[in-house]
Amino acid sequence: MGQRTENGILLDKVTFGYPGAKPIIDNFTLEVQPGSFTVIVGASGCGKTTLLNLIAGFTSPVAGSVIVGGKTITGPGPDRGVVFQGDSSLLGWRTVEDNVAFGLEIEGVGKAERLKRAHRALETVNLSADHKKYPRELSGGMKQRVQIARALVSDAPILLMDEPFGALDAITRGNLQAEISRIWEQDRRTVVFITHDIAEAVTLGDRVCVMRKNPDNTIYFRQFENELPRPRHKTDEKFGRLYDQIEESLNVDATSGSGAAA
Amino acid sequence: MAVTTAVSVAGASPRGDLRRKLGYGALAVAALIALWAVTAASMNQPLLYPGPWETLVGMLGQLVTADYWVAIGLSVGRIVLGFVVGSALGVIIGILIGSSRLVRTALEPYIHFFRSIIAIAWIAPAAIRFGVGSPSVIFLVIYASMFMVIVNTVQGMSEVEEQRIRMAQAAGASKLQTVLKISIPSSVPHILSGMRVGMSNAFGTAIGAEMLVGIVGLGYTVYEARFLFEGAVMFGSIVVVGILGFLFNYVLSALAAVGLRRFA
Repeated sequence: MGQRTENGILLDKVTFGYPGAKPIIDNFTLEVQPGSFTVIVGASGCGKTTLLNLIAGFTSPVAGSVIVGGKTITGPGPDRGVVFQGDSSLLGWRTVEDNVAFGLEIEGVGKAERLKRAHRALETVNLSADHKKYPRELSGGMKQRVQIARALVSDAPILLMDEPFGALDAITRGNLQAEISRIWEQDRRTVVFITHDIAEAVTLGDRVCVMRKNPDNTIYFRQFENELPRPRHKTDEKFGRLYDQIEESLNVDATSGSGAAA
Repeated sequence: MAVTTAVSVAGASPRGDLRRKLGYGALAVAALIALWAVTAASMNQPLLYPGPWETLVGMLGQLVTADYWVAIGLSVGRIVLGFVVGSALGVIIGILIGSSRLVRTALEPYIHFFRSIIAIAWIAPAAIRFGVGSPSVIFLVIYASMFMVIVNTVQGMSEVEEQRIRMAQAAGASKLQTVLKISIPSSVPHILSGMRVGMSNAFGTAIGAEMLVGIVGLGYTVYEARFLFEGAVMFGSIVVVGILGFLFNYVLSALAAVGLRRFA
C-alpha cells in the first residue's frame, strides 16, 4: 500500500490539566507527519502518556485542539488504533481471535469475514497458531502481539502505542521492536510510540521527541531526526551517537540552561 | 521429557492436597460429633438435647416417611425459586445502577435503606399481602438474596479496568455496547460472589420464615419438634439444613471459581 495522506496529527496550542491544579501540558504544539514513526521518550510523569491520551481522545484539552486527518477530534474513534501498556485491556473470556476481532464486531462486520481478517492480523504478528487460546494461556510478549493485531485489524491509519513493551524482558522486547518496525515499513501507518527506553526510541523512531519537566514545571521538548537505515543495530556508531545526544538532553542539569526554560 | 515431568508433578500435587483436605475435614466432623456426644451425655436431657446416636436413629425413622421428604422438597423449592428470582432481579437492578448515574442517584439510597432491614422483619406485611403460605416465604427469600447481588454487581461494574473501557471506545463502541460486551462480563466474578452471600441469606430467611409462618417445611419441622419433645427430629433437621447449606455453597463457590478464572 502506498503512503497515506489523511493521517497526520496536529496538537494545536493544547492545554490540559485538572481543575485547581497547574496544567500538565500548557499551550503545547506538535505536528506529526502522515506515515511517520514518531517516538516520544521521557521519564515517568513527564506528561507523555497525557499527550497520547489526548491524541487518542480519551481526554479532551482544556484549550487548543487536537486535529487528526484534518478534523478536530471530539473523542476516541476507530481511525486510531491503541496498544496499551500491560495486558488488562485484553478480555479474558474471549479467545485470541475474538479479542482481535472485537473492533470489527463493533463495526458490524460478519463473523466469517471478521475471523478471516483477525487471522490475517495474527499472521502479521506471528501468532497464527494460537488463535483459539485464551489470554491467560499466553506469555507477556504474546499478549502484546494480540494487542498489536487488534490495533492492526481494523486498518486504522494511525497507531498509538503507550509503552507497549514496558513490561517485557529484553529478548522479547527486541523481537517485538523488530516486528513493529517491519510492520510499519510494510504499510506506513502513522505511529506515535511512547517509551522511557532510549535504545527503543532510537531503534524505532524516524523522529525521536525528548520530553521532560523543567524545574519550573514547564515542558522541555526537543526533536531529533533519525535517518539511520532499518533494521538498526545498537553497535552502529551513529546509533550510539544519537543515543548519547538523547540521553544528554533528557538530563535536567545538562540542559536546563538552554532548551525551553522560560 | 521436561514437559512430562512437569505434568506429572502438577497432577500429583492437587490430588495430595485433596486427600489432606478430606482427611482434615473428616477429623473436624469427628471432633464435632464427639463434642456433641459428650455434652449430650453430661446434660442427660435426651428429649431436648439428644446425642448423635439417638439423633441418627430418630432421623432414620423420619427419612423413610414421605412427609419428611415433602418438607425438604418444599423448603429447597422455596429457597431455589426465591434465590433465582432474587439473583436475577439483583443482577438487572445492579447493572442498571452500575451503568447509569441517573438510576444510581435515584435508587442507591433505597438500596442501602432496605438492605439493612433483615428480611424476616417483613413477615407480617408479607403474610397479609401474599397469605400464610409459600408465596410469603418466597417473597422474603427474594428480598433476602436480592440486595447482596445488587451491591456486588454495582461494585463489579464500578471496578472495570479503565483500559478495557478505553479499548472499546477506541474501537467505536457505543455506551450500550460497552456495557454489554465489557462491563457486564467483567463483573461476573463480583456477581457470583454476591450470589454466594445471597444464597446463605436465602437459607436463613427461608428456614426462619417457615418457623414463623407455620407452613410445612424444614423450618417448621424444627419448630414443631421442639413442642413435641422430638429432640432427634429437631436436631436431625438442623443437621439436614446444615448439609443442604453446605452443598449449595459448594456448588456456588465452584461456579465462582470458574467465573473468576474465565472472566478475570
